[in-house]
Amino acid sequence: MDLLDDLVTLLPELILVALVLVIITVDLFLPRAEKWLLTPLTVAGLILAGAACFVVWDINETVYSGFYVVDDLSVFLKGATILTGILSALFAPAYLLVRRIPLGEFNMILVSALLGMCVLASSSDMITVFLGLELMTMPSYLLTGLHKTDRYSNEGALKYFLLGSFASAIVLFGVAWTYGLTGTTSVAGIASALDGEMSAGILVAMGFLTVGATFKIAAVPFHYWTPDAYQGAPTPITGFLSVGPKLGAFALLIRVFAEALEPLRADWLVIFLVLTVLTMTVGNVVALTQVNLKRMLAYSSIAHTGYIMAGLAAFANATDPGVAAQGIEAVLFYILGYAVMNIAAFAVVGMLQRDTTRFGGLNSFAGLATRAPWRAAAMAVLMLSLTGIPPTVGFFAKLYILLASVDAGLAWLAVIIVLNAALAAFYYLRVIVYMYMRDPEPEPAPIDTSPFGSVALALSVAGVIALGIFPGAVLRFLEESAASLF
Amino acid sequence: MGIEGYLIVSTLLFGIGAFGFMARRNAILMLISIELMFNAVNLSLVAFNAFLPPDENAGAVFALMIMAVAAAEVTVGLALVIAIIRTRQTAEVDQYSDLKG
Repeated sequence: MDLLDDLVTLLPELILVALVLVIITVDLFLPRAEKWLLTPLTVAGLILAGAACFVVWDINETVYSGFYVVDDLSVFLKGATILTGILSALFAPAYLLVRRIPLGEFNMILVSALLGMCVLASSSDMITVFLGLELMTMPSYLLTGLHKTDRYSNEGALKYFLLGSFASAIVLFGVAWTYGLTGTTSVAGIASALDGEMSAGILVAMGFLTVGATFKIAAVPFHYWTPDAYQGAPTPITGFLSVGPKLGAFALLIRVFAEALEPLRADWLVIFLVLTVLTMTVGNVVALTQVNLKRMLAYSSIAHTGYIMAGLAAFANATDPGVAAQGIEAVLFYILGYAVMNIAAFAVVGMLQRDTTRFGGLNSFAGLATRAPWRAAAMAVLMLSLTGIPPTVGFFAKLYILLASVDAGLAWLAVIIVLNAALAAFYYLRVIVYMYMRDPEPEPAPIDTSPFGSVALALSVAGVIALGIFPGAVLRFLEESAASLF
Repeated sequence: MGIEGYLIVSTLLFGIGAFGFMARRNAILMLISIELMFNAVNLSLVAFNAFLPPDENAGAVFALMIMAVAAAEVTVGLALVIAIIRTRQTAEVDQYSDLKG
């Protein structure tokens, strides 16, 4: 393949790069009153990039001297990434404009982060993994701190930045030693050089990689930055942060652990099982005690990380390739469903923070059903989906994880997941109780009813229900994606 | 000198950086510690590159990439530190305790 043919396989990424430049340029010439036009512009560009994903579907090639792989797995992750981008771009403007946060910078940084996730999903070399990871996380730090005059936003961003960079350095140290021990930075090369051989050096390198990667996905015990960063960030951006970088970090886990370190999967499985159980249990137990809804959803997102990790554990424990593929499919489906429902849930919280001086506690949801019946119904669907009650996507997402765990011989893990889901129901359903069974506050905060946000909310809820009734619609994509790993 | 010397120095640097990150409470000093860790990684990558069979220069290329990214990282970090000093008049991270629970 020559260079020009290779370029075609990068179509979604190229569109994102062009979109970043277009946003910066257009932003310069738009008068203040017309800045809202940037939102339709960004969304149109992202839809174009999403459409480009269908062009590169089924290509399955490694390009640029083995540095970049365009397989179905990466294209699926890119599609999911761009979907989160579209939803975030639609949810954020109303919240940002009231607080005088510049929309042009938001859109441009958001698209850069999406680009990083796409690179990460497609990387087949440790160098590209690192570049993608940094291109994803650095815009995330900036997005967290986008509300420059807000103490909380600053604090969340700095904590996120310091711990995130620390984690990057730890990942890098692990990568450097893996390179030293195997003599290559290529993912496939590392896998063939390792070949099941365990040595003290590899153990150390793997330890560093595990610590760094679990920092990035916010697994217990490396989750301390998560609630602070999520609470500090502007609310619709929190929705993106809880999904986008997590999606990218799971792409990293799949590339590094399920591909490069695949020969050693029996060794990392043990660590993963411990972290999985800890992550979901601690996330859910702490979420129970939270009164601030953003913090509650932050801890709940830690718990969801645990469920997704269970899918990877099922992959590692499976002896049959079919069952291992089932684990990866469960991970991908969960990521997709979780992305839609979590972004939308945070967006509803943001809609209730129209008044910048009020605090977005659980009380602001009291009596929402009488004040804004449609939004309350949407939030109820999202909470049911996060709990995992049919007919929502959350139910099938959990079901696939459970099936994969049981088939892989981890029935005890499935039991722990079910117990955790029951525990989580308590705090999710509490929101519904507040909305439908409490009287509104005497002077309730105004609700944001901007058209972009309402459209995005309707779309997400429709998606959550549609995937909950017809989960088979994405099955073919899932199967082909997982197949590209084997 | 063999590769061991370089690796020992690199590991020491990384350890000093990690210790500094955890012991220091000033945001800028923590940032410096992180840079130290990045540079420790660079040193080990270049050393590995020099002593491994020289069929490709992946390690040296990787080190160059890390330098560029580390520079960008500092830029982002300092911007965030400046923003927080504007609202709080301090760079001591222990004073940043509005978010908890």
